[in-house]
Amino acid sequence: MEKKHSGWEAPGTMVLVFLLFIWIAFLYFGNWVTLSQAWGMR
Amino acid sequence: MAAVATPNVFSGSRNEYRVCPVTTLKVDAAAERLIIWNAVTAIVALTLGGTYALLIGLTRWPDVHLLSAPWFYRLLTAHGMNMLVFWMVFFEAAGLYFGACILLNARLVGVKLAWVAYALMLVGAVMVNYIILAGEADVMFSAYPPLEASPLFYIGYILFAVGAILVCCIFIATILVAKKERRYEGSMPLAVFGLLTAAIIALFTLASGAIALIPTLLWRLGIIPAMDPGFYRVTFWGFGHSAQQVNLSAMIAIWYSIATLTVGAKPVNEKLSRFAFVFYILFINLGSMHHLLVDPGLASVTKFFNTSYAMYLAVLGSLIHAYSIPAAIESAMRAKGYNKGLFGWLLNAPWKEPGFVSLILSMAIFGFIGGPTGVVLGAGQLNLLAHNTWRITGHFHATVVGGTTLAFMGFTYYVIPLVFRRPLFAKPIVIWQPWVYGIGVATMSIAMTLAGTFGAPRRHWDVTFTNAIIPVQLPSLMNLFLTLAGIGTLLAVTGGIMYVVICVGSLFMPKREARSLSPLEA
Amino acid sequence: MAIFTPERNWWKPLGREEKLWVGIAAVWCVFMFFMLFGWYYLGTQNLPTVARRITTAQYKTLADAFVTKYKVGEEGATKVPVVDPKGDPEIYLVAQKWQWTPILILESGKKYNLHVSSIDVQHGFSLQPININLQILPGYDFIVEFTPTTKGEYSLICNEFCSIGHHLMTGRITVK
Ligand code: HEM
Ligand SMILES: [Cu+2]
Ligand SMILES: [Cu+2]
Repeated sequence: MEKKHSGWEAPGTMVLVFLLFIWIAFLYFGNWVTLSQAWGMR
Repeated sequence: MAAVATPNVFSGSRNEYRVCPVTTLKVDAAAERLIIWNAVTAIVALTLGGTYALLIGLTRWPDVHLLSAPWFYRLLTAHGMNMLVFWMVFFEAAGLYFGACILLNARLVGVKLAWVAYALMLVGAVMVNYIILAGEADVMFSAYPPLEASPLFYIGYILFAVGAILVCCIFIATILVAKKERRYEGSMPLAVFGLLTAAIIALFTLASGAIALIPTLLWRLGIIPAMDPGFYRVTFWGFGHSAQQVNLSAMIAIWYSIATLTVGAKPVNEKLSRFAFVFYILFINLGSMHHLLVDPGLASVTKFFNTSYAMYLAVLGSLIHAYSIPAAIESAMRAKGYNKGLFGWLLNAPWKEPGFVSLILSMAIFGFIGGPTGVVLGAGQLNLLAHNTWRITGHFHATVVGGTTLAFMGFTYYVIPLVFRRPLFAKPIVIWQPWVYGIGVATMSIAMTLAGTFGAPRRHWDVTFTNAIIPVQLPSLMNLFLTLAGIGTLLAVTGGIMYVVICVGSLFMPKREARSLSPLEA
Repeated sequence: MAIFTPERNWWKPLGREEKLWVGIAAVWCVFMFFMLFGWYYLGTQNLPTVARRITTAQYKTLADAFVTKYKVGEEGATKVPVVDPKGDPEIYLVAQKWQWTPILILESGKKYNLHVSSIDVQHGFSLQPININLQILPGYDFIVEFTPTTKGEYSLICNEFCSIGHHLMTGRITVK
């Protein structure tokens, strides 16, 4: 691969931050699931 | 890189310069001395804090349970103060002088005042350490009233904060004067912009700290009858949390700097990176409220709006940096011809450079553990499940310990040859230091987080509740994670010792000009 | 070159990649923001919001009266009172160095207003094993409206440092 990747400036980073995004979303939603054991506080 | 030789308009005699042979930057000798003294003091604080870290870490390892209860709480207080306050702020003071004077080719304004600031901080730190070890301030660094510490504790805290305020003012004045004297052309470098962000945040942070601590001191002196604990918590965290954003901004400035020093990275878009810093200034102080999510007396809407940092705009700032720095590294590496595949640039990066390894590990620990756990903990209903458990300790050991401290450590390896002008000591172990420390802290943070999800409380001497009147049994799986945290402690402390040995050893190396930007060759 | 002055004209539009990432990040931030309110309605458990000012002496009087009225037994070396409020929804819990008093016996499915406050320093209400945690301040009567849903024994520990005996501070809530 000689030239830049299909015109992307930093494709590797794009993949990395996308993984980061998935990870944050996973933690975020995963934690909400744990709330199902709630004590009915309102 | 304009090294303009402007005549010294104000006070010529005090400011001598040397020109760094490697970077061609002009270095103000007065600033250089201050950088050295502040950095060395920071490392002394880190050494103290690290010693206590080992002792409290081994106490929380159930099978070791090293210290007695009073000494555990005492040294935990001392650990928090020395690490979070003294190590961080002394190092940041050194960083601010470095940014303002060396990166801007400027002269330090108010050299005497800078020494006064240093003296205040030093006296404050010594007082606090003494009074804690004397057993007169077993209150943790947060010192929530009506827990009582000796008035000297608050006085030391306040003196230190006043010194820190002076440092920020001197930094800002130096930048303004440098601009006026045209020491640099055009806009200031991004790293200095980041440090300026840190200094601005520090000013309102420290003001909030004063509003919390001064009335508390007056209460302890009997001048005012009581200190409202709710009021204290709001203002204290206006200091305690915003201070973390100072650390954050300083760390990111250092990330950008190390990326430049190691691979010659150039921000992909200056405007974007600067906006991200501005988001911090504007919104980050709101985040303090997430310490109060499960406090009585605050309305839900207040809690939600504030903890979201106004619609998570400060988080947006961090996400921007999370892209912008690796992208800068990637572009720089690709420009050097490392174009193979998606990650060829990363594989061929200078993994033999301790600064680069620190940078990557610091970004990974902060980005993948510290930041995301923070976002989760900041949601009200989730905070209900985590407040004051070891999850919190796990979160901030991934931010300020695995992130900021590691970045500062990596940066030191450049400061020693370039500013101290001494070659690094024990070069063969330098490259391992970030790995040992980083892996140790990451292990510890993850273990703390998991132990916390099983209920392990923070700041707690005995999770078996042996002498409690009503017996309590926490889930046994928790013990596994407590043990894992203990193992992480050993690794992290080993990494810390390596760092201190390298730094102290380097102080005794013969003085010589740096020969290369790379600390291992300098 | 983050440590050197940038080129003169750094005010440039964002590139394609920056736009994409900032876009994703911004959408996510706005989403999380609205979900803060969303979860309030979607979730089954929320932060307690009611609190009132009270002096520690007043609070102690109220709590003592409650304990005297409904006391059904004692437990442990220091005779911690065991209280069964028998259908009274206003129940009191006192945080004090280093004991949660009283031990409460509650009925599942019934709605309670749990008053919690401290009569000395700050404490951390930490209900295990379900891991529900609240900050307890002296001078603030924290009123937690809740309906225990699952029967069993719940332990209370203290997770805010409350001076040297902090790790001795425990308590219990039994749901029957
Ligand atoms: C070798 C590295 C370190 C180890 C092994 C370590 C270990 C620990 C442990 C075991 C605790 C006690 C947690 C508890 O009982 O609640 C703790 C608390 C803490 N640590 Fe560290 N730590 C390290 C480095 C640092 C650094 C570098 C910082 C700051 C820059 C830091 C800041 C804190 C703070 C603020 C607390 C909380 C104190 C409190 O709850 O009042 N630690 N650490
Ligand atoms: Cu307590
Ligand atoms: Cu306690």
